[in-house]
Amino acid sequence: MKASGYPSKCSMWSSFMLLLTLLALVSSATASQLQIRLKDNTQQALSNVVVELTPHDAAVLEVIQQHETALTNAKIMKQIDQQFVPHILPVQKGTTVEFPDTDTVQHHVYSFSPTKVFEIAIYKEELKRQIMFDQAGVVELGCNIHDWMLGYIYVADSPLFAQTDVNGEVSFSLPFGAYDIKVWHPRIQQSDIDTSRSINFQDTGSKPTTAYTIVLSADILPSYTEFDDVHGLSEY
Amino acid sequence: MYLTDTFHKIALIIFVLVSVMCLSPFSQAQTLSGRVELAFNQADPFANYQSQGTGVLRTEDSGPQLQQALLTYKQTINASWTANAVANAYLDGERHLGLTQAYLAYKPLSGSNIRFKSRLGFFYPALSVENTAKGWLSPYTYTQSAINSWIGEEMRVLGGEASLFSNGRKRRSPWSWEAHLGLYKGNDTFGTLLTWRSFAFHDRQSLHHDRVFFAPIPTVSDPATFDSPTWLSPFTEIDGKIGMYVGAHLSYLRKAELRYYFYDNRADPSKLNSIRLYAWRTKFHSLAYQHQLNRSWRLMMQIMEGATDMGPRQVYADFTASYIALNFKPLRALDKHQLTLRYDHFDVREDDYKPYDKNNNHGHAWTFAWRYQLSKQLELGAEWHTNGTVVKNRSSLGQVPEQSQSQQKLVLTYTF
Repeated sequence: MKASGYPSKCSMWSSFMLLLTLLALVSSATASQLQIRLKDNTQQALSNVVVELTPHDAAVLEVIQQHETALTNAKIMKQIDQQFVPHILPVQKGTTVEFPDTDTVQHHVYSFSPTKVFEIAIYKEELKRQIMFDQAGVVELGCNIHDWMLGYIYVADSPLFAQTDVNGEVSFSLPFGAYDIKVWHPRIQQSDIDTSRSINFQDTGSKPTTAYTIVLSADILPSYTEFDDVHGLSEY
Repeated sequence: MYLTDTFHKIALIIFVLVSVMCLSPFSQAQTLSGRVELAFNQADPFANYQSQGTGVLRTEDSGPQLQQALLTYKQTINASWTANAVANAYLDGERHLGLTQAYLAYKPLSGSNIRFKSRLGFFYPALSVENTAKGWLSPYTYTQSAINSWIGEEMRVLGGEASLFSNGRKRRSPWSWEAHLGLYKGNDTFGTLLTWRSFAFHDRQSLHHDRVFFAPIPTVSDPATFDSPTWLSPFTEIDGKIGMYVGAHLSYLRKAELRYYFYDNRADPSKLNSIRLYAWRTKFHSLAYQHQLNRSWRLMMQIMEGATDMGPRQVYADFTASYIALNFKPLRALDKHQLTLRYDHFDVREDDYKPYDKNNNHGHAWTFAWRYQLSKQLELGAEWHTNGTVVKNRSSLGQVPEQSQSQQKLVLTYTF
């Protein structure tokens, strides 16, 4: 009688083959690129938009997760010239983010977003304050000393996420399969964020890159990054 | 001894609080910074108010001078409360060491679009767009506008301020606003200098226990008229009444800002204290505006319109003062330099029962300053100032009412 809890040779063999296949797909992903383009409802390219992909096949996700975790770099949200840099930082769930203050003034960073409620006083030139983000969602950052400061941390559930470049494009090297696509940016309206989008990414043979364009329905919200103009008003 | 008991007690409590905090072990939650300005001054020899002359500048002495020496202290008590103090040292004036500000600030964290904050202690209402550097100094010129020279020497509130504010960026709007209500005591002699001296041009803020002298005008000291000292303790409580102010700030992004204040010390003009310092009922509207026109140019202006009454109507005057200033910061290689040009105008118009106690005065001034940030700690600057004033009570001292004064200074600043 076989000891319970151990898989049969057959199931072990099939798992091993699946793993090999997926790893091969991941490692040979340069030949299978998915390019996603973001455009607003006037066909203008949208940069810095967070794009998150979730594969329908959980086994794919698991392998990617292991693969991506090894590549994860330290995530940093700086405070430079009394602004958050970068304005939007996408991280994966479970990531610890450092909040170094390179300014010569104190900051008091806080969030009331349900994704992560916290507050930390960060003194001038202090570099080692950290917060772990263990729940997926959007975290809006503020500073209790400099009210105009605003930044975002996008906490992704999936390891497959990136931000669009200046051309509104982002590329992923992926195993073929079906994926859900989420987009997020503070200027994208909730209706467009909530729209469900999926793609069935398949081997077309001839072209190494598959392009997929997302066009938003609602107007994008106005940009107020001018608040970050450090030549602006000082407070007393 | 010149303060009322209540004021004295509250000032003492603030002193003790701040002193205890300063003496407690230094940690990251405490920040101490300082500023020392050494000036080489070249001024007209016409005697100024601090020497009991009728001039409207800080000093008539030429040569090296200690222009500013101050320490600013901030203690973070917890996520909502901070303790703040500014201590100044002066070689001129009647008191040489003291506080110009000492207050607790309360700013609770909140995710709401409209938030609350408050200050409690001894502080300035934020009505100036000129005095935005540490220690309520101007980052643009050394000699301040007529309006803010007067605010620095005669106005301070000993009380509380409650404010609502809303950050536009959080609401996805370019517009931010603040609304303030202040209640205070201890500012009852406010207005004395505008009438018995004149508006002036300087950066000598009064210390918490200071005395400010002015020329020995005969009608002021004469037992048959006012029989009053020719100096004042600016933050004296005389009638026990509570003063008030309301203020509103409106900002467009961080590019343009309007600040409106209505200030009324609600003093009873019929009251005077045992050393015959009178209560002056002084109220004004102040409108200040600043606009960052582009990366190099900033426009600033302020206008103040008000009235002061003592007696009642033994001294009464309406006053108007304004300035307009333009600041220029070159880009790239010269971005550590800045130039500021300011034009000031003021007018004090008497309308009272004692016309022989002459209180009319008016004048104007030009101020041009260059400031150069040599390093993080060192700044070099130069300033040229000239004014023309007509102060009617100069004639009671045998002087010509109309006077022109000028001064030039070279200033080396060390900050830490």
